[in-house]
Amino acid sequence: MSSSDSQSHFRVAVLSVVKHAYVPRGIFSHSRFVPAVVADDADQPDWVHERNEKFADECGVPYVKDVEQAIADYDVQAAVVSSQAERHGSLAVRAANAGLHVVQDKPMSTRLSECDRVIEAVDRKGIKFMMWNRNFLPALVHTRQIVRRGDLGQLKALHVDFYFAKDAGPPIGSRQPGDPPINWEETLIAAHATGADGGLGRDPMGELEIEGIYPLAYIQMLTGVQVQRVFARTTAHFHQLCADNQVDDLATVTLEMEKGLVGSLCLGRIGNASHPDIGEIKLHLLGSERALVIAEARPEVGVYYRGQPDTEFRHVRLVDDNNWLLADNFARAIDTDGDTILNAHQSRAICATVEAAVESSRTGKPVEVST
Amino acid sequence: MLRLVLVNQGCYASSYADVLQRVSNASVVAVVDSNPDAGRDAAGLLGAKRVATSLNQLPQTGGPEFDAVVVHGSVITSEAVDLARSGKHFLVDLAIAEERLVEQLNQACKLSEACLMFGQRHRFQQSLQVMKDRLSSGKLGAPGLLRVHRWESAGDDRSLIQQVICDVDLANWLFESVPDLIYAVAGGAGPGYVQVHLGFPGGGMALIDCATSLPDGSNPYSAVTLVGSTGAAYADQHRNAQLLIGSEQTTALSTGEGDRDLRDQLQEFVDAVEQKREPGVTGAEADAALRVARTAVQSLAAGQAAHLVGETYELV
Repeated sequence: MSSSDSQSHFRVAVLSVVKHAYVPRGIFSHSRFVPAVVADDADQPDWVHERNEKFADECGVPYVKDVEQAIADYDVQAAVVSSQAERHGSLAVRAANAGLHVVQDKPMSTRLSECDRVIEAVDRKGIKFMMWNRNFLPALVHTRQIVRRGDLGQLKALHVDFYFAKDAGPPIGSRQPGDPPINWEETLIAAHATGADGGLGRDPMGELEIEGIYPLAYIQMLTGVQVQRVFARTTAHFHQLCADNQVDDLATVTLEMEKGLVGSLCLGRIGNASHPDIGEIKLHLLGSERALVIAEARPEVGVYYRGQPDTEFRHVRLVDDNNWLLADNFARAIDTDGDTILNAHQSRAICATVEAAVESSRTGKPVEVST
Repeated sequence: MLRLVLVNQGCYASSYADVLQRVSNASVVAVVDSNPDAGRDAAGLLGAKRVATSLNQLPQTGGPEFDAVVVHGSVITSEAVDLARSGKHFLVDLAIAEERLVEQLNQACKLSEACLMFGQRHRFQQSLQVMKDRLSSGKLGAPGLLRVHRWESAGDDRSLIQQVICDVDLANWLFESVPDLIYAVAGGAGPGYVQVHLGFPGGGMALIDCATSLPDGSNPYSAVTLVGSTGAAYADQHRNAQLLIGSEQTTALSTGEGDRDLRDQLQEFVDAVEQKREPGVTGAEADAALRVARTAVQSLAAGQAAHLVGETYELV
């Protein structure tokens, strides 16, 4: 029986919602979670308040320009954090310190020290924390079943391709002599209209930092082990925005994990033209008895028609209950004092892996992952 | 008409018999196989008049003269080097490039102005030819990332170099360069597994994962993805799977590319000899792939990355 059938509601404070609002919308796809208030700090710029206010209106709840006041006044039990990336950790800590369970948008933080602060607060307060992820997509659920049943035997190697077919402004090489470098934050603020603003924040972030959590969360879920050492190569290959801000849009990472497992990750924001849909996302698993190749997008239905806009995906994903299942997982963790599908410690380990990969790319050497 | 001797092609005899019908200006006049029965069977399939158990024995068999020797997966002997010195052309597998006498064979061919081509079927696989064509024509932009998965069952005992060299060459070919950064791991997935990570000048990168650990009898699997700055190509067996539906389960079947790569490779060799030009895969390219593969093995043993410093790779 679903936890939503018999349990009480959780009133939720949305603490800043300045990117695409898929995380709060995802949590509210589950009837256990109801929006109570949207809140943010008063000193945030106008565009932040405008977006927060718009989402509050959409949900039919107040917008309060004082996070602590909102938490005190609206009888909330959980918080969704979807702010600029550099504020993720701080807002999560404040919510945890107030005793709220926390759901957070990617990345956990742009700094490992912030991840550690979140872990300390979450553990001290005994609250539940979940990073938003894609682990409940149908193909991933299926993969997990196959692995857990032991159909592959002992897992030996696991590879994930995560090519995200979206543009990020003008192509590399398009900047004319004398043109100033593209401003990261301004560009990402403007990208809100297209939903390509996952890296929104003051500090430029590479795709490995922004999107790396998804494939690394797959690996974490399927193997249950820690990445110990990485070797990585990263570059800005597609987008002038990334080149100007010295962050990657293409990366390859060799992963050396506990129990002798090896793996790899290929990841990039490869541009709209490079794939007919959202991108090529695949898993290759090698076991002692069998091997498995999984397309993350399946099941899907192909739809093609005259006059079809370039921006419309030709293949439409089916039976995607990821949002509801994540929310349900979060609710169950709260109800049973269990663990979430991607808790604070696991999320921190992913951030540490990404940080080590960036360092490896810079030095050209394998790097141990900070524990 | 190029008259060929096929050496140790036992397992490929029927494939050659099929593809030779569609190769212009070539015929097989002799078969050499250390297993006399396999040699006779192959000669029968290929219509060859001469059969020998070694290149050394070939002159004693009489019959028509030959121009070129096609060697599959066997050791290069001093007799082969002598034949190269006398102007015989050679097509040898890239997988045996690490053998001691290959360098001598290369030198002998240079001195006698004979053609030496290294067999590397990946380059002639039609899907990868399409990939290369679209890259060369600029449709994909600058190559950024090459991802290769190549899995098979154990089969014959191959060295790690033999396991990876063809895909290393594939990467060099697509990037039109040699890597300046090499790192390899196997972890607990070995033996029979190696993962090679390459960095190319200008930021390009390749990840090659080679396993020979699939259960006996498994079909081989491969997937090659090339991501360029303006496009991408996916030569992926997963995309070409068909379904066989039965009462107990539904099974995926692969409609493969057949032996067309073998045919195109042989035709390239024949054409290169006839036109007196460099063949598709040269000694210099084989040497470059061999150096990278050797360095990958060193990286694997040392747990360190290798950087190209000047002309040599150094572990750092």
